[in-house]
This record gives sequence, structure tokens and C-alpha cells, in this order.
Amino acid sequence: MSFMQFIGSLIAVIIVALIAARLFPTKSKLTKERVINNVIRYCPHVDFTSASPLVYLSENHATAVALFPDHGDGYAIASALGDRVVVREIPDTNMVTVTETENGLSFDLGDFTQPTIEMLLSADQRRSLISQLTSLQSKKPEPVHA
Amino acid sequence: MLDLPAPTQLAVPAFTILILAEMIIGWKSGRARYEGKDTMTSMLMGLGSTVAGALSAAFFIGTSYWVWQNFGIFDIGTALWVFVLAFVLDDLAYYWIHRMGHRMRWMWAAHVIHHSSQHYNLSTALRQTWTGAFTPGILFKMPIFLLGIEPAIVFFVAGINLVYQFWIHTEAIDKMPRWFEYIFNTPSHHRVHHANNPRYLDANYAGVFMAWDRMFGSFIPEQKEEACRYGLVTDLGTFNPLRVAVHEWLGIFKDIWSAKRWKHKAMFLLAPPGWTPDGSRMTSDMIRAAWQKREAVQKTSKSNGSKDTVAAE
Repeated sequence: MSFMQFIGSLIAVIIVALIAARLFPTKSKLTKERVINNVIRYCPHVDFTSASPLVYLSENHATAVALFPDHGDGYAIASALGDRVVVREIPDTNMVTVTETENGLSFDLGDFTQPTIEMLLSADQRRSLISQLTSLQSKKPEPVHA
Repeated sequence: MLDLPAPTQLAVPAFTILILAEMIIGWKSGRARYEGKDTMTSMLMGLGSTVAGALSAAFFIGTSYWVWQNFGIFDIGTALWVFVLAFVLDDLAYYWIHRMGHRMRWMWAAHVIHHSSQHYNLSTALRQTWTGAFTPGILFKMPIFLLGIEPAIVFFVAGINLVYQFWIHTEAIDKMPRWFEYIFNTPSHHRVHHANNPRYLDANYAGVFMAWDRMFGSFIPEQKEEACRYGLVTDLGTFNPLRVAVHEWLGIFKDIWSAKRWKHKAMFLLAPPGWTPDGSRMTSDMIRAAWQKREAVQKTSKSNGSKDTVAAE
């Protein structure tokens, strides 16, 4: 493949992708129902028969945190990727670095395939979610030493 | 060395036209779905794969010819029937390369790229690996060279095989005629292969002929009652082509680095994706077993429920 062929192909790729974006605009954002459906599908081992997960949806509807019923077995983070949803289960709160930002919270999963997730939240929502996550952390059993 | 054309390169303009045609059909009928960034990533992976292939071609051609010239058992020649035989044998080799591409993490690290889209359309067919040269896949083709078939013929028929596989990456076609579905790989069979539903995991590895899946027990038909969902068991949260290309390699390196025993280091390379010494992650076998268990429990509770209802009545 020559350099000119490469450049020509690259231009063709960009044009085709632009046509795709034009014909299939991404309108769908996260809703609570969509988050719940995806979390239930992604975490089949979690028992959702008694209650649905408690969902905190970001103000731009791009990301969400879903707390499992009775706060058992950690929580899940859902994020919109194009017109699809990606879910990451967080069975251990230590897996994620949660940082307060000016407009909400940021979740760093230390995962090469999942960039840092930013959640836009109102002050009240942020306080409430932080308190829920803190209580999750405190519920973790203490390590037993022989 | 036999001078044969490269079918995949010749087919690139047709690929582009067919992608645009599927887009328009999908836009009008809703039978196909695209997303701009996903399409861009898939096609960039395809372009990168062509560049990577060109860079590694000399090594593969050289090795193949060296084996054929020095160890080839028969002098089979270049008659038409040799091309037909080569096509069938290459398809069989493809089946095993593909199967190992799902069952051995070393080979999965390269092949995972092709499964990393949550969409299933013709652009997904172009989402190809950049790192295939770092896997032992070529070893599966060595018996064909040892038999005495000239490597140029094998590369040519392998190109035709890949061109064939382009059109099966679509939701726009439901089912082909029954006889065709029985013999050949089709959109329906390949949708199952790309699905991440536990029921469909690790099935339908065929390139062209479904006989290999039927023969080696990996055939699963598409079920009307369970639509395929596409992507990985743990989907990627990025469209970045570089991250898509190398993420599993990075995961392997991390796991090998942190493994304490040599056996575990080797297993992180050779065992199925998801294998860990302590079972803390799930392989596809474990995911399927857990799903089967859940299904059995659901069925039991349903049948108990119906018995209770009868008793109450």
C-alpha cells in the first residue's frame, strides 16, 4: 500500500463515517429504565427480584450509577457509548477512585478500555451519592487476621 | 513464485459501495443500524490491519515458501483442482485458527478486535486485527504447505475466503434458503458467532463451510426467541482505535507480570480468555454454566409454581 493509497483510504473512511453519523444520528441518551435493563442484563448473578437498582443519573444523561438492592455486592456504572450502553460492575469499592469535581463526581476505574467516567450531578445528588458510596465502603467486612 | 492477485485488495471498492448500500437500506427500512464513531473505528481498524498485514507479509511469505520448498511432500502443481483443494483445506485451517482465536487468550488478544463493536453491520467485517502477526496462527496452515500446495495459492484462496465473509456481517438478511444455510456460513450463523448472549458464546467458527462446526460440535443455530446482542462479555468503553487494538495484549502482560508461578504465567497466555488461578474472572464456559444453572432454576420454579396453582385450584 502506497502513501497516497493510504491517504485516499483514510479520506474514504472519514466520508463513510460522516454519512453514517448523518443517517443515524445518536439521539438516545440514558434513562433510568435503560440503565436498569442493562445493569440487570450485565449482572445476572445479582438478585433483582426484590427490588430494582437505585439509579443516580447524571444531568446530561450520559452516565449513571446503579446501586444494587440492599446495597449488596457493590454497584454498577453505566455510560453511553454512541447509541449503546457500557456497564462496569464494581464489586469492590477499592477498584475505583471517586473524586469530587466542580460539577459532580469522576470515577477512575484504572481500566485501559474505560476512560474516566464524569458524572454531572446537582449538589444534592452528589451529596446523596457520596453518602451512599461511603456507606457501601463501610459495609465491607473487615479483613480477618489469624 | 506464482503471481496471483490479492482478492481482498481488489474487493475494497465493492466493500465500500456495499457498506453505503446497507446504510441506505438500514436508514429506509430500519433493518440495519450504524453509528458514526463505531463505523469510523471499524473502518480505521480495517485500514490499520491492511498496513500491519503489508508490514508482516514478507515474514509470512518467506516462512511459508521455506517450508513448502524444503519439506513439501508432494509436487501438486497449479491445476484448477489444486485451487479447490486448497480452498477446502484453508477453510478447515481457518476454522481451527478461528476456534483457537476464541479459546486461547494469546490468539484472542488479536482476534478480540473483530468482536469489539456492539453493532453488527458490514463495517464490522472490516474491524480486523493489527496484531495477528504476533500469534501462532500461521502454524495451522503449515500442513497445507507440507502437503505440497504452493503458498501463493493458499494466500489467494484465503483472500477469497475473507471476501466471502464480508457479506455475512449483516442484520439486513434474515435467513438464506435452507440448503444454503446447511452448507454455507450465512448472516444468521455468523450473528450467533458475534453474539455475547451466554447461549451463543463460542459457536459457529466457520469461514465458508458450516460442515466444520457441525463436525466438531460447535454449531449453534440462531433462535427466534432470543435475539443476538453483539459485542464482548465486557464491552469496551472507548472508540479509540489504539486502545481497541492493544487492550487485551496489555491485559495479558499485566497478568503475566503479576503471576507468581510459571505455570500461571503460561496459562494466562494459553488458557481461554477469562481464566485466572483463583477463578475470580469468568471464562465463556463458566458464563454459560452459570446461565444454564439460572435457566434450570427458573424452569424448576416455574414448574413448581404451576403445580402449586393446580393444587390450589
